[in-house]
Amino acid sequence: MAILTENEKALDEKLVESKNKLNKRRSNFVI
Amino acid sequence: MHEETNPIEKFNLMTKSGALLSKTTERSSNTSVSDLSETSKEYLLVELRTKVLEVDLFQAIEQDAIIIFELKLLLHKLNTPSFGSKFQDFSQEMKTLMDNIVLSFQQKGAEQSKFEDQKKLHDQLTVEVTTFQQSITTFRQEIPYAKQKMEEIDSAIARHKEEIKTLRLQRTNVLERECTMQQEAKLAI
Repeated sequence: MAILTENEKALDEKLVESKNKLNKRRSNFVI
Repeated sequence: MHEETNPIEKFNLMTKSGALLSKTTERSSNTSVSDLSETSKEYLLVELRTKVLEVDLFQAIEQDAIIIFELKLLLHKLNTPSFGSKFQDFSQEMKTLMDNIVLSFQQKGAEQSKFEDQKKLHDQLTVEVTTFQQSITTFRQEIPYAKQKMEEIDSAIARHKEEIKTLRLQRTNVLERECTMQQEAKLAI
C-alpha cells in the first residue's frame, strides 16, 4: 500500500534500526 | 508480499499467545547444556554458523517467522558457561534484538489492520457522500420544474374556484326563479 501512516513509518524506521543492529552484532561475532 | 508468506500475520498469530517472546526457555527440554558432549557442542556451533552468522537473519525472520523458535532455542543452548561469556553475551543480545523485531512486526501488523479498517470506513463514507451529492444535483435540477408545476396547479385551483362560484350563482338564480314561479302559480289558482 502506497499510503503509510505516521505510526507505520515510525515502526518501519524502528525495524530498520533493529535490522542494522542485528546484522552488525551478527557480523562482528567470530567463533 | 504474498498473504501466505506475510510475516506480520504469522507474528500476530504466534505473538497472540505470547509464544515467540516467552517460550524459549520452556522449550529447551530437559537437556542440560553442561552435559553436552563435545560432538554436540560442535554441532551447535555449526548450527550457529549456518543459521545465524552466515545468513541474512532479518530477511530469514521476515520470510518465515517460525524460525524464531529454532533460533532462540539454539541461542539458549549457547547461553551457558561451558561456551564462555562471549557466547553468553552474544546469545542474550541476539535474543533481545530478535524480541524487538518480533514486537515491531506485531505492532506493525496491528497498525496495518487499524489502517485497513480506517480505509474501509473512509471508502464507505466516500460512497455515501457521492450518493448524497448526486441527490443534491438531481434535486437542484428538479427545482425549476417543481416551481412551474406548482404555478400550474395554483392556476388550475383559481380557475376551478371561479367556476364553482359561477355555478353556485347559477344554482341560486335557478332556485329563486323556481320559487317565484311557484308563488305565481299559487296566486293564479
